[in-house]
Amino acid sequence: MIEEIIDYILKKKVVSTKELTKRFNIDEPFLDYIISYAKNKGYGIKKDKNKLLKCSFCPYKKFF
Amino acid sequence: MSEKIVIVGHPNSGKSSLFNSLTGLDQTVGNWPGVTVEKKEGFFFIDDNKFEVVDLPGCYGLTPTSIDEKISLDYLLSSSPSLIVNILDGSNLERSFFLSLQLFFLDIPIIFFINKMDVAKSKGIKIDFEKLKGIFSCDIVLGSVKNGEGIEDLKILIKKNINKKVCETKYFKVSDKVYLHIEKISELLVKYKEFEKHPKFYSLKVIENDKNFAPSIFKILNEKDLSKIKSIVDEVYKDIKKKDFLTLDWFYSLSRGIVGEVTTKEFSDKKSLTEEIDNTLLNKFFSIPIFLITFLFIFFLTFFLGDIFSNFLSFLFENLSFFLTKIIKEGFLLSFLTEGVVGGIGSVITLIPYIFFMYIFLGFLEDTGYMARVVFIMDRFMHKIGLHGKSFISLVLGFGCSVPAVLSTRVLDTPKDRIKTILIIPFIPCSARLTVLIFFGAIIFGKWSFLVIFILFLLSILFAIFSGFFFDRFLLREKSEGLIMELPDYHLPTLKNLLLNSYFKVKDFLKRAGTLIFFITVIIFLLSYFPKNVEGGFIRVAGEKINFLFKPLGFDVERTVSLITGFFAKESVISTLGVLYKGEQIERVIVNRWSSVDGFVFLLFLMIYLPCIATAIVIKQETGSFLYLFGIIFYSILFAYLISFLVRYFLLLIL
Repeated sequence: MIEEIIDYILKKKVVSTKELTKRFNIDEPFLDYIISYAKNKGYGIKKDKNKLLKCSFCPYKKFF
Repeated sequence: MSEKIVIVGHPNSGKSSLFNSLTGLDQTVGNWPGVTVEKKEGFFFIDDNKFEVVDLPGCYGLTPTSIDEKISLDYLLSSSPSLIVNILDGSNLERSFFLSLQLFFLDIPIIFFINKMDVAKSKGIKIDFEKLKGIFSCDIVLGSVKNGEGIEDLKILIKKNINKKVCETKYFKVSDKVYLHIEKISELLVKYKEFEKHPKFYSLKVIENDKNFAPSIFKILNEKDLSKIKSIVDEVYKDIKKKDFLTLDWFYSLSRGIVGEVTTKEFSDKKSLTEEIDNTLLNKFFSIPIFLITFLFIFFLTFFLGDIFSNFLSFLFENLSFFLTKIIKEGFLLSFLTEGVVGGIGSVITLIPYIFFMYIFLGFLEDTGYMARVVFIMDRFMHKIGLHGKSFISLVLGFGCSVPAVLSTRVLDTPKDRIKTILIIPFIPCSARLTVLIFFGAIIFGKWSFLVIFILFLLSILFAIFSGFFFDRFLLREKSEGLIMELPDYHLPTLKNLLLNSYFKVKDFLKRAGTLIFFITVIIFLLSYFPKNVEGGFIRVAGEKINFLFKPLGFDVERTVSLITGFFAKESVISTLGVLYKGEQIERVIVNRWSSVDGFVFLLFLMIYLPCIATAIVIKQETGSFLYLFGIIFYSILFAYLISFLVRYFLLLIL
């Protein structure tokens, strides 16, 4: 499910928080945690002042 | 020896309330997430056994994404508690289990305390306790901290579960291969001293490839084990394209599965009471007027009720002073008692009724959940000054006390956001400053005082916004992120909680009055008494030397000196004036000597200039820089001076 959320953001490039919370039946604080987690993994997802999630760069990270 | 218990849960699950219920302490509790930003410790007894309790900041999972989450994880890994009390939100179990499942990997015994069962019930959520017991091997208590339900059962189970074997859930073993691989890795890691306490947790971090742990784990492993672990990890990720979210997804799908199995929800088309109330309170057009009217009303009630009791206390101290002059001969002792103790400390004590009522009303707003809505309402202004929406939580805490407000900025994601917020907090009038303003306001402006203080309150918010804009524009420019905040359901606060909250604040104030403020008062008295041949003593001579600076603002020597002592504690402004006005009743002197314009300008300066010394210390500690500390001190004095100067001459022109 979380992978689906991230994929959805990558695919749409710009997506609103409201759309994500409705589509995936998830609350905003938890979505915040997922985005922060993704940022830690090197995903360039940002949230602007209008609560739009944007992905600037999402590199493939090789293990080890 | 006492046993250590740790309370862990996600933000706004009720950890601090549970901590207070167990220990009887008065840690700050708020009906919004992020109140606890550092661990708090207390203790309680069951029979003759002592239990230490640690309240950790809220976290969503064991992969820290903010400073407060890191504090929680570091503590769990390093302190080896005997038991974790995992507090879950009964009205939001999905998110709660997401954390609970990760806690199992720490190999520490756990008890589940499922809180907010009253809220769950009102939402039509039913939890099948027997099914839940069948899934987890640990003890589970259903309750509501707010109503005191389940606390006694929890205490009994705490005693029973200390150092008991760690808990398990059948869900891990039947779900998929991830857990089996974690077990395989932990069998290898347990041989190492560094990982022997929490081998499963470190195995999870290896599979997750958590950048905070994985590189340091690999450095410690010998080559043979490293290659074995790498091959296990390769096996986990075989045929999986996206590797980054595997474990997160695993925990989330497990928690969804558990919630689906143990809960049922009655659906209703009717809007909940919270939704109905929010439709009005958060309405685009009404939200700001309602916010303003609410605070105006609170100031009015505080003045109205506080005035009655404060006048009574003033009357008592006046009579006490009169009584002392009758029984003690004129000299140092009489001067010390009438001018120092009664005049100084007595004036401060008359603040108590205002403090008591203000905390009752602010506590009411906080407990009902309205304060969290204030954050939501103010969010749009926060963005204008380039601040993160979360910053407003710190600013709201600043209305109570600047010290915890500065500490609470740890939840902010970027250093620039933190520093900007820290620099704005001193402009928010803390309760100490507000009560001092209320005290003077009541004397100077009589029945209109509530309106004047309300204007000053709004001005302080305006100055904070202006300063934020200034810092953002010229010093710390950065794009802000949107506000992500869960609005809690409305609660009807209990009178007991409101009274207790207010009682603890008054107690805290009396403690300060008896120590720091008393100390300052005695020093000021001695400096004003000696040398005996100089009227007004050293302090007057020194005050006269610097008074030329404040003459343009219309301040006399006494007010100038009181502003200096106000840096140590804002309440000491009153006690200093009480001492310097030489035993005359402070109310009478102010009415006779201060004009309304001068009074207003003094209150304005008092509201803006310098945080107290405790705030200054915390600002240095949190920013790690003397530059920011001296910068904010210099800026606030200059800003206070300029604004007071302009306002004074504007008022003199029009009045």
